[in-house]
Amino acid sequence: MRFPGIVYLCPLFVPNVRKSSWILCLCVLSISCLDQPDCYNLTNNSIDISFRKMFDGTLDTVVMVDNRIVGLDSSFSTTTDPPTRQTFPIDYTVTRQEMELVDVERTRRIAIGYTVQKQFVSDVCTPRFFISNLQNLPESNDSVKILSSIAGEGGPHVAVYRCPRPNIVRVAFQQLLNGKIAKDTVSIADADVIDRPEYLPVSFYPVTGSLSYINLPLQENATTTQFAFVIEDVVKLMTFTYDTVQATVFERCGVQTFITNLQLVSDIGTVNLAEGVKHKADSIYDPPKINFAILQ
Amino acid sequence: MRYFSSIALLLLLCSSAFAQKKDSVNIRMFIPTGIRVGMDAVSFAKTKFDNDYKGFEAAVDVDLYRYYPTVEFGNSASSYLSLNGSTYANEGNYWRAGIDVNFIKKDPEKNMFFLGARYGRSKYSENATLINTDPVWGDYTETLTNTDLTASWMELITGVKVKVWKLFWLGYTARFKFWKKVDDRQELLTSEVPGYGWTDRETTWGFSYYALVKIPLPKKK
Repeated sequence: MRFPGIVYLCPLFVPNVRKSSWILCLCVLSISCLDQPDCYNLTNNSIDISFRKMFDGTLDTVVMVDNRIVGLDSSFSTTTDPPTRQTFPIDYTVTRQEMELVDVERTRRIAIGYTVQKQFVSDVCTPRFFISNLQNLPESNDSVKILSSIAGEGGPHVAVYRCPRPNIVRVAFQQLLNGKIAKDTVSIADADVIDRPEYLPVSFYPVTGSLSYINLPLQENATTTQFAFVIEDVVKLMTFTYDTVQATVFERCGVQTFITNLQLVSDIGTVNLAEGVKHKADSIYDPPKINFAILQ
Repeated sequence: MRYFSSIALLLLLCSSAFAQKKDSVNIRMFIPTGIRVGMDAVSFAKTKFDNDYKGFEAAVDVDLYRYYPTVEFGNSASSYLSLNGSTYANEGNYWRAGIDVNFIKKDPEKNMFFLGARYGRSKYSENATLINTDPVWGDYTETLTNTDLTASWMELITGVKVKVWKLFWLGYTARFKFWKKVDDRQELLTSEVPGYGWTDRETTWGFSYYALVKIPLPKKK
């Protein structure tokens, strides 16, 4: 009795292929081990909220004070530097979540709805929760846009747009170096708005320390704002005068006060207009551009 | 990338077979000599030795010269228990249909080294009790059920089938499974499709070992 086909089924009978059969066997075993599902990062329960400017859509740097999930005690800190986005975990046991983002200017409340699908993964892993269909809910009190409908990696998922800041003026410091104008840094010990102690504290803008420029908030309900700086133990002044115009640029932001015909007088040094090809020195931009340069 | 490299591997395996000289083909060669019916020994062994699996798979093919139209069908029921107490179970029927091409041309026994393709379809139901403990969100337990789900997929296959004694044949088939379409609109996402396997990757591999009987067809004179 002959079994000519048996060699196809049992290659171990053929000495030449015995080794290769063992190698094949080991390969199959290795692949089976690698084929086990990875228990890590199965659940995509994180959401990235990025801060953007409504004016041009670019990323915005926000100084956060506190980030909370409504109904939860924990606070979450910003993980990017500069802080342009905030990551929150998502509660996969429910289908909506509200978050509060408290920065130095205001508190934002963002409500997000989503779909949660569940899956058994393996006998060694915990279940997987797949979060998708992210959507902005009407309870959000800000301009929120969903950028990606699936949570987890690949964020940001949500963009929060802020209205333009029409009152931030930027002043740069310069010096004469070998006959040429060069950047200068000034050590400012203290800064304040003259005669307006109730006015917004300016400390959240970089106005103290060793600076090459400063951002200063002008009063929108006045036509002049005077700042006092302590520089090398001497009080120096910057006095801005300007006109104001009310206009609605973005419907969501309502009527805003814009500043025109801006002028600066200062005893720190010689004030020069810093006018570029694409911007005028007497107008406010967001993000701020250098309006004036003070040459010491 | 993985998908294409797997297809390339399969094609490479049979490249020598494609290199054979062309033979003249007579229409009479397409008259089938028999119908081969078999059972999958892997499903049988798993049913016998694995308490959490019950199932069978059968295959039927017929020879048309080098081409073997094939139908495979089966049933399987699996259950799993995870370390944290979560459970998952599925049960369903499946079938695959396709054709194999034999690259051993001049063997009078019609032993086969073949390449083939299959379209697979499965109808199944599943249920899971999912348990999770999270330091932020607390304890979670939920039982979910899906019924009457369907899934489909494609396979590229290769293997051998050889005559071992009179009417009896043995053969194994390696399957590269891809292009799966699973209903993912349910709250419980499918973990395993009967006939296909685990759904956590875009592609997967499978293996069958068939014991077959060839029922000869009467020869036309």
